Amino acid sequence: MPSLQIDTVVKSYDSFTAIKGVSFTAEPGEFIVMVGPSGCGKSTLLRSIAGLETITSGAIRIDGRDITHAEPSDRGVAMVFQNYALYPHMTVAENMGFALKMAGRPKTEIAAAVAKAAKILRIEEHLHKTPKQLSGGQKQRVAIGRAITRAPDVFLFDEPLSNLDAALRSQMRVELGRLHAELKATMVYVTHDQTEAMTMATRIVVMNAGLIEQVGSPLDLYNRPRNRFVAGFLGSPRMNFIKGRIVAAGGRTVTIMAEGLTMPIQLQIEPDADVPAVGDVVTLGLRAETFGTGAPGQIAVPARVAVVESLGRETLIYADAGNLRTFDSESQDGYLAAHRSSQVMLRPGDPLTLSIDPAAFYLFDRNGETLRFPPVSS
Amino acid sequence: MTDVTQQGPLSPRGRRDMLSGAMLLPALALVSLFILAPAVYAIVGSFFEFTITSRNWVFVGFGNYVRAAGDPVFWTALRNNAFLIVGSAITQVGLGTILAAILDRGVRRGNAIYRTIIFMPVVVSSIAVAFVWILILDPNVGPLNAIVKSLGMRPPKLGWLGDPQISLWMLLVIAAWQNVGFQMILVLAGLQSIPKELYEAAALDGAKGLRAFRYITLPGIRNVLIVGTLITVVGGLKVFDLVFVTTGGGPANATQVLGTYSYLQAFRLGNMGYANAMSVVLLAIAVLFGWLQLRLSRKA
Repeated sequence: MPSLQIDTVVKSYDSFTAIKGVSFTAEPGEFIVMVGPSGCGKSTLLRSIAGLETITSGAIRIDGRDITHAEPSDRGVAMVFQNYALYPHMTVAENMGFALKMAGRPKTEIAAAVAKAAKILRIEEHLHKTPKQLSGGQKQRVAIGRAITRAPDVFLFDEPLSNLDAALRSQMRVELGRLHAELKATMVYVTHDQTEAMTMATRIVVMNAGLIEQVGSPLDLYNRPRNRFVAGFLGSPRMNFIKGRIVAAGGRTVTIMAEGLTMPIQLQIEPDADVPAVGDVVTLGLRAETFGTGAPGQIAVPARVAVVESLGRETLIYADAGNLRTFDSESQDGYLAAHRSSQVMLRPGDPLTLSIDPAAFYLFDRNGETLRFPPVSS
Repeated sequence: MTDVTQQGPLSPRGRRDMLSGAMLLPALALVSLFILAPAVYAIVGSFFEFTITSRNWVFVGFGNYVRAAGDPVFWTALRNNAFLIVGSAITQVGLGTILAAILDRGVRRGNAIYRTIIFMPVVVSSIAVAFVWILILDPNVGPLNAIVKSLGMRPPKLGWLGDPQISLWMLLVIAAWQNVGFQMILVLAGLQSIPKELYEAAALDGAKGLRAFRYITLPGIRNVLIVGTLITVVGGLKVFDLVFVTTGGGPANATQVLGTYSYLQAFRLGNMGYANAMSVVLLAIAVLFGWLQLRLSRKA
């Protein structure tokens, strides 16, 4: 189980820089998930690791061995592509054994490696078929099998589940988790789907505009996002962001007023953050699941139901709370997103009281850096 | 009940079938008139002895075919057709594939311009192409002679098209010049339908360069190559205009092909039955290749 080290990698195309000096290390056996919006450079970085892109500067090492300029086939990596990239004229077995064939391995060894991978992925009965005879899920399994057969140092996955339907995607998530546990291999996985990131990763690398925003365990990133980008990117529905202004500051405690909130909020600034000055514009962040039930000390905000999304055992409510609006969300029209872990019989237009626990607020400075995390509820 | 359905208006399906039939009718009529009827006429005519103006058709059975078997010019013509078929398959499909690969991978700028230039001779009529090449190959004023001389070499004494040792090769060059663009476009379309990811997966699997060509490109354009080869084969079989205008089958039948020889027999020597028999042989060979192509592409 080798480690993978990305050292100040830069990738430029003429005048455009896709990756702006990125560094992180995947420890042996780790499942690293790189997430970020489209165009953030995550796929480019993955392709650079695979050797399909030549990096402009920096270094890529596997277990200390510099592979920056090595041929893709000599790097000890295997990649699973979004569109499977199975060779259409070869059978499943030939697809899976192709790398070993190219490496000049004996037929018996190839057959044994293919059989072993097929058993792990439960595709033994499809070995003689061609890709066009397989379903999407089966094709993706073969693509993974092709990677397993090579027994690489590092597995690379480029959005491998995005072509599958929702049910199959969640099934494959579980299977990939099982596969990682079974192979104990170092894996780097690129996705824009935060559910995949949260459920499968040992650590998540959040990328934005060619830079790493934060690296950490899924819950660490969810609970303690370093900035507003990470806070907004992880979590569904998206965190509610409310504009506020510092009206008083004393020691590490600040008082914030936000339009639409009837009372000021007092929050403690984290020890390692700079205390904002009075008059500074800040952003309050509130996760959808933290809206309370009207307990004492909570702020009651009258609202009206705008949209209800019933998900069965839980409900998402998008509420119009007058002047208390979330910004930074194009799709929500400023409505606050609230999550109820039960079925709720509400219809658009119904009145609703949102209870906000002031302790649940995140606070971000004018640059989006986090000033305060709410305590993690158990 | 049966009476009711028979007398009543047509069912939607019946109407659809009628409509389909009606729409096929013009095409069927044209094919029958210009392809099927002449083919049947040629096959029937091949068993008779007659001239283009004669009213009396004399039945000779397989006589015309026997005559062909014993006619050395027929065999020369057939051999020349075979030469052009094999030669064209190599030069046109081979060169077309190489050009397509270069345009697909190697050329970044001016791709469309190169493609247009190479494709241009395809849209020019064979007669015009033939005249252009007659000028190029002219022993007195042609630029080829001048170029060869300027390189310190001696052009053929009898001329490029007059020397029996060279003339058929020159026809091969002209045919390649005219048709390579078509093959290139065909292969280029095939190449561009191969997903880029396949080459990336192959690179990771250790197949780059020639190995990628052998394991990814070639299987990916297999059907296109089969179709391209068949088109070339059929072109080599039915070649007429190019030979007729440039050499007329000469010198001394060195470039005689079945097309020109049939024409000679039919319209110059008045042996319509014999010409028909040769055409039927040509048809049989073309049908054989067509069947072969169908089989090969179904297998793929």
